[in-house]
Amino acid sequence: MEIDWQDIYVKLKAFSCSWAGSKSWFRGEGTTSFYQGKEGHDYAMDAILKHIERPEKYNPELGDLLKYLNYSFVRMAVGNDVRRQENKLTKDIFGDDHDESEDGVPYAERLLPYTEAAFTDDYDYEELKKYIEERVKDDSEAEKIYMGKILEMARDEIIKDSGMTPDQYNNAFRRLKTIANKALAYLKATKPHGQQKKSKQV
Amino acid sequence: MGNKKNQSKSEIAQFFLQMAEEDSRDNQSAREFLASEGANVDRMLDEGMQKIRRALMESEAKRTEIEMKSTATAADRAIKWVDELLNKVDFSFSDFVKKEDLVVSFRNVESLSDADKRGILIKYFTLKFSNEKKDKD
Repeated sequence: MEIDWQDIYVKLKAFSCSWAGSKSWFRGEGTTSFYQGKEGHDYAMDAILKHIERPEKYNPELGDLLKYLNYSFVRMAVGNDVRRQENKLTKDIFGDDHDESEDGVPYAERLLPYTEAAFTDDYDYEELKKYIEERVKDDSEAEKIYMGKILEMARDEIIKDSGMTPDQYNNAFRRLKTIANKALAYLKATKPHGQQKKSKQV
Repeated sequence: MGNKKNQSKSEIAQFFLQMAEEDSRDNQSAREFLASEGANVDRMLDEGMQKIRRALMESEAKRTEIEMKSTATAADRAIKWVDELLNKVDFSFSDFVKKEDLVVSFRNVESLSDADKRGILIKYFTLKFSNEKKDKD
């Protein structure tokens, strides 16, 4: 089957921008910058080029190509961050037997450990949760989406459970994004870059 | 970190991961999200697709080069093999055609010249050695 690269590229680029954007608050000003002069989403193209060079590394039984590229991007972004001496924030989850332990695990399930590793330990995430929860209290639709996302519910499941129409869902999702962005801005303001200690390596 | 703190961190990571998946769930959402971030989506796509097409062409060229090298090696091996075979005193071309179930598009095998027979055998063994290499890879 021929790959629609334009479709894949636009989706991967959006995923990578959104993913990297949520890590900017603890990286200080000029904030989306990862190391080696790259930004998180630059690794999206790297993930595609790497796949074109070594297509045999993708196993369709473990998920679709986009999921594989999402995983490849996240792994590359986190991995490159960890290996730099300047790294003080990203946790090293790449143990000696890490690659083997991922054998057979669907790509979708591999994303969370890397995403968690990219959030510094040196912060009270309950404060961030409280901030979001306080603000979604008055917006029951946004609250339902927030809770659904934490429970890993798919969009269709949340729509079905909440009785929202797709348009209502889309609007509520936009409001939730505004709240999430405000939460990140709040954290950035209250916890300036440079106060964090280096995360422990595991 | 304590269990509760770990749990909160995990939930926050999950939340932002899910947001990223939602932002990229289909072509339209992805375009809307990128535009909301200030990207010129069409230009970004043009530039990205140029890189992808170049990489695909380079990859195809590399694959063709490897295949050609592999075929060239198989042809060299076949020539050597056939010359040794033809030098054997007990070699019979017609027996070989029957044994290997070789399709020869000549009515009368006996009418073929030595050069024709050699050519047919080289083609046959080149193909055979190339396929053996592909199976191994």
